[in-house]
Amino acid sequence: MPPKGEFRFLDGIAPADAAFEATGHDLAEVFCAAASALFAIIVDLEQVKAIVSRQVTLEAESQDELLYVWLSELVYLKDVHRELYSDFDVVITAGETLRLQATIRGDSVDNLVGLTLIDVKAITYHLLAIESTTSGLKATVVVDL
Amino acid sequence: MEKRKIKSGVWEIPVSAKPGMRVPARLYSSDRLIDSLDQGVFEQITNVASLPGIVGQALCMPDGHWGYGFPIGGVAAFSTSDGVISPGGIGFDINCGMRLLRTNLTFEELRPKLPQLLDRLFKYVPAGVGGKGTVPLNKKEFEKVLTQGADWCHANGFASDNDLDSIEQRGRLSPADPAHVSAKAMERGIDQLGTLGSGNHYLELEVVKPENIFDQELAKRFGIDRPNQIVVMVHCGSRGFGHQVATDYLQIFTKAVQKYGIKINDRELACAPFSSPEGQAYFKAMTCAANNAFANRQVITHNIRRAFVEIFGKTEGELGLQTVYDVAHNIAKIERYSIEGREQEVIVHRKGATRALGPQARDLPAKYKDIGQPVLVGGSMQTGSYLLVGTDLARQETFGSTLHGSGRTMSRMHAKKMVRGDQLRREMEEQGILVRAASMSGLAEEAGIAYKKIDDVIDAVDSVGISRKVAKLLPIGNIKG
Repeated sequence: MPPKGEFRFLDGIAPADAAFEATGHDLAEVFCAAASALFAIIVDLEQVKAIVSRQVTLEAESQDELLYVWLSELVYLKDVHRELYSDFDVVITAGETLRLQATIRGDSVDNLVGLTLIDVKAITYHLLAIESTTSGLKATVVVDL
Repeated sequence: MEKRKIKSGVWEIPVSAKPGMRVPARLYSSDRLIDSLDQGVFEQITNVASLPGIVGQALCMPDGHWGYGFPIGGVAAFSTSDGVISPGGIGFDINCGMRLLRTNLTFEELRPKLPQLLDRLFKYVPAGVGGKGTVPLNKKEFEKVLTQGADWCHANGFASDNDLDSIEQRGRLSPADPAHVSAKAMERGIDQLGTLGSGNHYLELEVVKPENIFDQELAKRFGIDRPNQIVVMVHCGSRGFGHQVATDYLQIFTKAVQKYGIKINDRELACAPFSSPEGQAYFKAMTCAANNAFANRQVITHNIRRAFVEIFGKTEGELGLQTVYDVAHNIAKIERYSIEGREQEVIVHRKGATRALGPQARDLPAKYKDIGQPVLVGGSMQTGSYLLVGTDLARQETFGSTLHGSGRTMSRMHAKKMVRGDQLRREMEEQGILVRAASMSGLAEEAGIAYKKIDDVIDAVDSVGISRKVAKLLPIGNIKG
């Protein structure tokens, strides 16, 4: 399985909510890691089997805007389909705009009763940033709970 | 940041404190609380004070803490002709608010049936991740919910005449228009009516002990009329529908600030002129979300009544399950105030702040006209909540606003390190508070230690006079999302 980046939660930034840092060698890895962090807030990812699969296609003019619409799309899909996702394949291509194509996999909330932690309401622009590091890229995200 | 005390309980940050400030900022607090305010509040409230068309002062209530754009506890009024509207001044959970129901039951009468009642409430009021609505709706019917709010509930057998009389603006705001709502928001909300949600949302059974009544006469007028009376408090909002409306318009307003050349100090303060097409579109969509939240709390009320009737084998009338009041604490509304000697129409943003009308205010129902509006303040699930009354001083000083809760001081991560959910649940049971929680982890994050002391923040608003204490409500049973 290809590497999909890493994430860690940040304390002291959003006392009433949650914040995380997602890192990877490239943008696609950062976006995978950010998606994993998002769902790790809601559920223990190891409990979420890849039963259902969905395709996602998005466009945006900048990297951080694409990150915002990507994570917001996942929050929307979670509510509408009542599913939680744990596995993400992301491809990002640059043209006139940045284009994201992803396959996401997960399971129905009904199969995860008693295993969920807390829900995510929305993604915020607060401190939202993607920056270069010595080993790749790092995104900072704050989510509203 | 420079601040000076202008009277007991009120501090002011002058316009000289930050370049771009258009009006001063005022912090309502106490000597005990003011020094514990996090720095983010000072930055954020002065950013608010820099927005175009702001009038009077940018205000922060004693429960204030860091938020997105506005601080939680933030209140600001903007001219409807040359001011802005900002989703960051309302919050993602549009019309998150509180409802209080009274009952004829005493603690002694309820105690033997408390576990069964909590189980039934937990079944009838879906809570937590993926909670499914209790009212099946098609798109046409959901649009009626969005435009009619609590009136839709009344027409469909979920609300009484007294319920409508006891909700801010009778639970129906205009100009709600679903044409300005995205398909995504419709899809997120259509199956969530009657759900509690997650995070700090709850349904709580509370007892009003005689020693916790501060104004007997007012308490009686609000339906608190017997010793150790049971009341029910609900805290929730517009669910995924409102969250999606906020998400959609945050993106639209990010472009609008460029289009209209508005300088903002924080991306979460993205805004548009209130009179612009974007500003009006958001106002109409936001109003739909507010109506959805009023309807949500009303459907939850209907299901609370079902649970009580079934467990106690009595009618609703015999149980006296009546709404005392329902009030928003994340909202923007057009209101009129006298500002610098001139009556003005303004769009008041309240983000984690509650409307608090004093006696004789135009929007009060007849039954509260001579005494003022009940103000509902939710504390932590361990320490209790308060019933206050609005005052005329709030109209004069704070755009008819007061605090909304205790105010968080400890992060969720930190709280989870300090206490485990199952341990907290046992501790609460030892304190006499039974809990039904969708998530033990979520329970730990809402521990009482994570919040300011509710008594301190209530004393701050009571002392300064922007609302007054009526009764403290102690938790005995909690449904936690």
